[in-house]
Order: sequence, then C-alpha cells, then structure tokens
Amino acid sequence: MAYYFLSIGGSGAKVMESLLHLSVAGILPEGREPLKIFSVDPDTGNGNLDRMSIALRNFEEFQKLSVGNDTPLFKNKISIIKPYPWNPTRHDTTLDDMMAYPMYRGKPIGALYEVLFTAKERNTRLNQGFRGHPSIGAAVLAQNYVLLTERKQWDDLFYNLKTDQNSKTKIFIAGSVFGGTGAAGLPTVSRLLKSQAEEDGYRISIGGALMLPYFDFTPEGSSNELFARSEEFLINTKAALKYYSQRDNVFDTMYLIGDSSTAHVKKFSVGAREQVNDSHIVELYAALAAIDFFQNEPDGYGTNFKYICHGDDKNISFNWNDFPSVYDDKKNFRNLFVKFTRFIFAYVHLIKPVLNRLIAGDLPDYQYPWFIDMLKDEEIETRAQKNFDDYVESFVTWLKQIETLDGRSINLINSNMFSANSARLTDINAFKNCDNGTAELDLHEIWYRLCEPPKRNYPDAKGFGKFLRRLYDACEV
Amino acid sequence: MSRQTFSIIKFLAIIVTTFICIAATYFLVSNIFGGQLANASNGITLSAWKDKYLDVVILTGALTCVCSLAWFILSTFIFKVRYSTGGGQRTIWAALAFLAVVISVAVPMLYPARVGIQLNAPVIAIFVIFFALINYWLITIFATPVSFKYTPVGASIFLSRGRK
Repeated sequence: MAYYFLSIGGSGAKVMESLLHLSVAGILPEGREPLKIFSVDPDTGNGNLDRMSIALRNFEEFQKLSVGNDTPLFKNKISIIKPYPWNPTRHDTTLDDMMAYPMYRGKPIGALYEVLFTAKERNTRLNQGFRGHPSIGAAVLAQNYVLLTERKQWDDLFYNLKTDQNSKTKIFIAGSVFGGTGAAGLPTVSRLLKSQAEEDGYRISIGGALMLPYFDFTPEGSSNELFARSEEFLINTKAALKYYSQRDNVFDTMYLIGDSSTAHVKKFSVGAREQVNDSHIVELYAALAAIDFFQNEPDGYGTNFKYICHGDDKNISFNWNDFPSVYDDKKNFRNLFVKFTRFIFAYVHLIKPVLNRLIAGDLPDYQYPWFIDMLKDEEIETRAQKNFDDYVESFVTWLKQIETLDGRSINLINSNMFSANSARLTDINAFKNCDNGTAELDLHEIWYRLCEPPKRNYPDAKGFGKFLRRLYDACEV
Repeated sequence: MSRQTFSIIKFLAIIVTTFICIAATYFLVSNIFGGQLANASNGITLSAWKDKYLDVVILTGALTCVCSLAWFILSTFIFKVRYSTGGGQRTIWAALAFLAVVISVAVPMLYPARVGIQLNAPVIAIFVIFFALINYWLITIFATPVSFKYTPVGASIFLSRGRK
C-alpha cells in the first residue's frame, strides 16, 4: 500500500515536522513503502516550512545509510514529491493578477468579483500566503484547478498515484481550518484528488487532520497590511466545521485536533522567513492521527466518531497516558520514541562532539574504542553524517518546543535535561530516566555497550549507518 | 556470561597471573643464577638464599599485583564515561605502569640488601619482564573493561578489531 502525506500551509508543515520525526524514529507502521511527501504553500519562504524542509532534506539524505533492515531506526523512508513545495501562486502576484481581473473590469463578472473581495484582498501580494483569508485561497486554488487537472504542476504526484495502483493508496492531508492556506486547501485539494482518482480509476482513501485553533498572536506594526487575525480564528473555524458537517464526502477519515487554550506566538510575523512558530503538542497529536490513518482500515460502517481527550481535567499537564493508542500495544509508541530520544542524546553528548576530530585524526583514538572498532577503517559517508548531525539539531529543537508549552506541564521527555540552543545535554543525571518512567539507562552503560563486541551480526548494515545502528541498539532499556 | 561474572574472572586472572609470575621468577632465577648469587651473598647457603629471594619475589609480585588490581578496580568500578572526553584515562594507567616498573626495579635493587642477599642486573631485567610487562602491562590489556580497552599501550595489537 502506498502512503502520501500532503501538508497544506504553515500548520500542515508543522504537522509534517512532527510526522517526520516519528518517521525517523520508525514509529510509522511496519512494512511501509516510502512515505511520499507533498507540500502546498504559497509562502514558500515561510519559516515554519523552511525548518521542516531542512529536516526533511536531511533525512532524505541520511536515510540512505545502511542501518540494516530489522530495526525501527530510519525504517520509514520518505520520498519528496516535486515540486516541493508547490506554490499555487506566482511570484509577486496579487489576487487580481491570478483572476485576470483587468480583463473583466467593468463587466458584470468583474463587478461581482469586486463585491466578493475587498480592494486590500485583491491588491495584496500573495508571496506570504493567503494572509488568513481562506476566500483568497479558495479562489486561487480553484483558479489553479485547471492547472492541476492538466497535471503540469502535479505530474509527480499523479505519476506516483498511477504507479502505486497495485493496491489502495492512502493520502493524508493536514492543515488548519482557521487560517488561509489550510482552510482553503484542505477541501479543495481533497476534492480534486478524489475526482481525479475517480476519473482515472485509482483507488484512494483520503484522511485529513483538521487543525482547530491552538495558537494566537498579537500583531505588531502592520495595521495597514492584510494578515491573519487570531480573533477571527474561532469564526473561521465555526464556518469551516459547518462546511464539513454538511459535506460528508470531503475526507474518508477526518481528525479534528485542537486545544482548549491557545499558545501565544512570541514573535508575530505576516509570513515569510520570520514566521517561525514553536512546535506544539497538538501537532504531535495530528502526526499520530496520520499514523492511525495509515495503520487502520475504515470499518465501512458509515461515520464513526471517537473523542479523545487527555486525562487531566484541569488541562494543565500531559503525560504518556494522554496519547491515543495508535498501535495495539500502546507502549510501543512510547518505547520507540524514548529509545530514539536516548539514541539522539547519546549521539549528541558522547559522539558528535568528537567524531569529526577523530575522523580528521586530531584526537587520540585509543580513548574511543567504538571509533577504532567501527569507524576507523571504514569509508564514512560524510554527506550523510553531516545531514544526520543537522537533523539532530532539528529534532532537539522540535522536542524542546513540544516540551515547553506556556502554563502547561509536559511530562514526556524531561526537558530539564537538555538545551536546544545547539543541542546538548545539560543534566546528565536526568538522562538515566529521561521519560519519567521506571527503567533507567546510564550514559556510561551506552558507552560500554557500544565498545562491546556485537552480540549479533549486522549483515545489511555498514559504515556510519552500522555505527548508528549499534548506538541505537545500545540505547535499549 | 554476565558482566559481573566476567569481572570476577578477570579479578581472579590477575591474582593467578601474579602467582604464575612469582613462581616463574622464583624458579627461573633460582635455577639459573641461584648458586652464583648465593655465593656472592656472603656465602650463605643456596637454601637460605632461596628463602630470602622468595621474599623479594613475593613482595615485588604483590606490589605490582596491587598496581594491576588498582587499574582493574578503577577502570571497572570507578571510571565512568559520561562525557565524550571521559574515555581513555591513559594518564592513570601510565602512572600505574610507571609505578610497576619502579617497583620491579627498586624492590630487587634495594630490598635484597636489607635481607642480606645480592641480585644482579639480569635478575632485575627478569623482574621487569615478569612483573612490569606481564603482571601489569599484559594483564591490564586483558583485564581492562571494554569501555577502556585500548587505553593500555599496545592493546590494539592484542585485541581483535575483526568483530565489528
């Protein structure tokens, strides 16, 4: 079965970021083909998308490392569908340009258009997205519908869909319903894919994570500009939910994910590179929704509703028990995630600070038996290693942000043990029991295991990948 | 085999090696140089010389054994690698190695005079071979835990890197 993930807009990109980290950790279901990733965002320089894209491209590179086949580590490969991201607008265009308004000026259709959109909406350049105005997004995407069906822009996606038709294809789309791009794109793209699949005889199943408001912001010094306003989020959401309630065929499976209180975005930005919102635990929930969708078959008995709320009535704290079960064994998610986290921090703390100097011969290697045993005589894939090093920083930054939510206590990984400002462990004692569980694993124990002769063979692993595999296996509690 | 069992075996191996080194040094020197050195030691009998010589050998063996055990205990139970710069500890190993060499030279040079016997340069060389080289250097190569396995100088010559 083929799996696709489509991120739409900034919130979609942030869900993708969470899903990416779960993929690298091998938390997606077994036996996957590569998860094919497609992104729609008119604000291609958006900081949220940018950060996720860097991590994505890092993984695209280091997933080639040979870590062996029988491990969760890097088992969920990804494949990025080009163009990435797909920009439904052109550079420096306005809605008037997109709709070819000058051609219709003075005509009845032009007058109708003027009634539907304010002058500000029509004349704002769309380089930074749809500015929280789904009406603009809907118009632009509808205008692009012709392009989409002619497949000039989406060639790669449709080609992939066609070649994956030996079995049913699952497509998961994530975006917000309260902003601009996501609100406009979620139903439009879903309907487009469905109708195209129907026309071409593809069998697809579409799931959607509809992100409800979970953040707000205070605009600064842009009063004349067109931008998303958080006070309109609830109104937008209400309208969107009404729309989805009246049309039951937009998604085969729908996940509505939100928070009862909103996180305040520290630095407001209309869009572009400056728009870098911290990651939020709601996005992790949405990523788990994607896994749930990929994992499970719809039961075919019509609409089913499941309400999943976290256990703390006062809505203050989160712990491992607050996550919905995405596997039969609920602990599996926790075990895999915690093991991967240990692996990342063991690498950050014990290996990364010295690895390049060891490779360069600037450090006496007798201090590092693992280097002599596993890497000294190997051809190290430096490009993949560099990408892994960069990815590690992305993961730690993401984890820190997930763990740090204003006024909430997130009790997943002990956030006091690490700093994300250049990833590092700040409290090595806290590492032992980093998930606040009962099992402990010391850094020295990991070092010891890494220096031991392997307890088994790794026939499919080699080079730096084999080393990472050994390190990952050493992090087993 | 559990790590604990393996540590006990290594500990016992150090003790056994010390006994072997003591026995080898005692019998080798007694048989080759015994008579000559007994005559040189104010003409005491070979049997009396052997008794006094045994004391020298046991003292040297025991002291170098302490060095080996000290490294074993430090590297197994005390030193923990919790930072990337925490490995190695070769300074400590080298200091103990130096001490083992000093003991292997100083004890056969100084102690025999106190008990009234003489030893010569070849005997001191044999002491260095058995007590500094074998009872410290060689045994620490095999008794060091894997986390510091290449700390003893030359360990990589003996320890296989084939099993990756």
